[in-house]
Amino acid sequence: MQFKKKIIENLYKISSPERYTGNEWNSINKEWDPESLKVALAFPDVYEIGMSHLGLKILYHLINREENMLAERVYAPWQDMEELMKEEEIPLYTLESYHEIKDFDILGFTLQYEMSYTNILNMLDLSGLALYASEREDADPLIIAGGSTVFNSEPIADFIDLFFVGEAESLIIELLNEYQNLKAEALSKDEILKKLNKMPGVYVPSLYGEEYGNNGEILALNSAEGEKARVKKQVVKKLDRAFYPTDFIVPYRDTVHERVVLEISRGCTRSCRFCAAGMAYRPVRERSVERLLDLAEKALKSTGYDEISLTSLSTVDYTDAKNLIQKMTERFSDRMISISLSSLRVDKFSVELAEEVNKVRKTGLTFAPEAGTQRLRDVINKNISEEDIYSAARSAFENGWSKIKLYFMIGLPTETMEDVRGIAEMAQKIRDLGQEIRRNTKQRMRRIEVSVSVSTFVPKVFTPFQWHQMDDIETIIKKHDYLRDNIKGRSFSFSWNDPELSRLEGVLARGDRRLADVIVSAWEKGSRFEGWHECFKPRIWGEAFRENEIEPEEYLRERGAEEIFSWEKLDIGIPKTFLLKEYKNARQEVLIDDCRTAECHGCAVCGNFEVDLELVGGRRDELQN
Amino acid sequence: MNYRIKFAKLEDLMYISHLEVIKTLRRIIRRAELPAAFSQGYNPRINLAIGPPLAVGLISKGEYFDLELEVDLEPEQLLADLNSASPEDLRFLEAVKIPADIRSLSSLVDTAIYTINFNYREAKSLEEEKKMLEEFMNQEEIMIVRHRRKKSDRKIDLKERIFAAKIKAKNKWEFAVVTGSRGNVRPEELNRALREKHPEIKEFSPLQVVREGVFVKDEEKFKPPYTEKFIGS
Repeated sequence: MQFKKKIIENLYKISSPERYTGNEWNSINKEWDPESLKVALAFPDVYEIGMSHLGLKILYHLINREENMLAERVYAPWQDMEELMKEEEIPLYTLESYHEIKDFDILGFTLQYEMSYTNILNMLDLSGLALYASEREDADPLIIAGGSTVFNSEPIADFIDLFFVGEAESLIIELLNEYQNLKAEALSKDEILKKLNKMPGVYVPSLYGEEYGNNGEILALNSAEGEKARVKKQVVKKLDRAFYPTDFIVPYRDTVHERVVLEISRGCTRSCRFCAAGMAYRPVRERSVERLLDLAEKALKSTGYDEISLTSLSTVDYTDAKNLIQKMTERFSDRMISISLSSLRVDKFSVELAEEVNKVRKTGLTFAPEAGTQRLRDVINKNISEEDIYSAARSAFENGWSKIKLYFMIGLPTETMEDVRGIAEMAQKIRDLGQEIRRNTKQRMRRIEVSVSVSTFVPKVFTPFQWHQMDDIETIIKKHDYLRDNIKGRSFSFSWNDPELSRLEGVLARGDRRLADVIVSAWEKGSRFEGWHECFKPRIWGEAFRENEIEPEEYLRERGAEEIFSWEKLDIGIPKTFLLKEYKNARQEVLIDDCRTAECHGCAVCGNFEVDLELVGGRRDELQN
Repeated sequence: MNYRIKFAKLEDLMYISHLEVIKTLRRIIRRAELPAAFSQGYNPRINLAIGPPLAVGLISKGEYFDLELEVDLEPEQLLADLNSASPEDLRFLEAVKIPADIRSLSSLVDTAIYTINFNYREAKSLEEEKKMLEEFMNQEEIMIVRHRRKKSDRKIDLKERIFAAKIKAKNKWEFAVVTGSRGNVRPEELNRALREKHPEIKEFSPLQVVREGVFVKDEEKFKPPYTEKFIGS
């Protein structure tokens, strides 16, 4: 509180001051009862990115619902704000009560992207906390972390006291209560952590270690005596009954998602072999249509938004999608509420659904074929055919869309220049198709625009491709050059990721604990917001690797089938044998289909967690009959 | 029914930009479940017309917007509904029914009144302050350099842009300046001009400036834009 005046007085000096003032509608500023547990929820990127993160919204409201707890928010300050804070001696503070982070019992980070690791360090430092967990005092807040990149959090394990692995709704309140009780017993931090590690989903990294061989390989993973050998992730069993907030905070500033976000389902069993989320969030669980309508009604009333976004890993796979969308439009269209869909699949059905919600304004439509040839799409188990792609594109153009965005990856296993050529050819064919339809239609249609966005494939942990070698810089550049030369002209736009950024992401994504010192060096040299193209400084990282005598190439190479991985201290419930079999299937171009509609392929998640697919429309084969 | 509504934007919202205020107003109207009239077209929006922009970093006690509702609601009810769905530091103060076809706020409003709290290097008596203001206002011209985003700097004369100035109390000066389509004066520019003439004035922070409101200049008086004279059809 004591900083508020100083902050307000100085904010006019920096860009976007409303990132740092809070007081938004629906933000919860609870009274600071000395007895209550105080949690600062931190997102290691700027406000407008963090405010759009669904997991953080859920946690914020979930914790604040508890009488004996409060949760407040803090985001990474942009560089100009960091400078101001240092100049004016303002510590990192929360947006609700303007308390400094040190006043909290717990500081919890959301891990969403490897490139934000240096922001985590920066936020610890701006809070006046030591970076390494081992150097912090018992009186300092407990630093916890969780989220989608928790499945390989080894590179930052030295900085964090405790990770929660899996879906936090399931157990977070229990964990916080347990912490509160243990703290009341006046135990030391180490004792508390040891006790908390007994809870499911809790991973206290200081109780685990790894041994290295002479060639840098990992010889063994070990755990302290009496501790579980591996930490099993936690899942929500009945999503339809799980907590979901409706009183979302309404930011003043433009953010990524300025709308009611409804998570219609969680998990995806399409089994794309590159996809980390597809493996980590199994099985598929859907919320019921009635619940979703009720949530939408309440959220619209509470926020005043004029748009609902139906989100999930694959929205059109929702087994009652048509019905859901019809009911939503029926109920809300006369109130001038629009509905948007995220993550469309590349097929005609998706376009029909998009048409249903988007009767008036036809902005762009995005498809992700991921690979340019059928062979390579089979390798990654994308399960879409040429026919699907062109009929989706045809249907989109015929329904009046003129702008199509296509997402591809380069560097997938077994890729050759033939596959890269396939990307350019597909873009051209789709453009030609669009222009032909435009020539022949009686309706007015804007000029056809096809934008092609190519990212470099980064192998992710706990996927069938976790063994795969990443492309070297020269190969990535060669592929980019080819695509740039062959996707040009007025009707095309082509965008790609910085190859060095992708490679660094690759190092961190399959990294181990030896990278902690590298991350600290990079932070010391000024690394911040590396996920932002304009902030990425590869030179800094090069120096950081050299100073710590770490060879980044080591992390990007093809891994051996027998190798022990740093991240195997965790257990996502899918056996390594399944992933390895899938890697083999990939190289043999063998497809497997979705277990929602076909037989079980033995990923073992349902058995391991005693959960089942939660499908509101029944299995698709039943639906179609 | 059409309404002209006066609102205050206070400290917690002082860094919210003009466009963000408009967006927030639309959301408040939706949350209050007021039967607002929508614009026509592909992307229907709540029909709402706001007065001249308030710069980021300033608080104001008197901003305005016009709103059309599908029903005839008593102004008191409208205010209560709006306030119940609004953040504490965005307050709706006054609502007046207006005919549909009157002059818009943006063409009507031409004056902004600011009060500024001063700090001096050495304490000043009220008499001294009066003399300082007099000297300031009696200058032939009050030239300052205006910094413009993405454009070159420009020299402007504040003299013709300041309609009136007075000392309201000790350390508290009031300026009526032009605003809207006929020009603008930023408090920060006033500050610079004042310091140039009187270096003993310390730089003031945004917290020391209050926009008392926007007005319509009527001969030598400044009247609120819902005054009978301006809303009579």
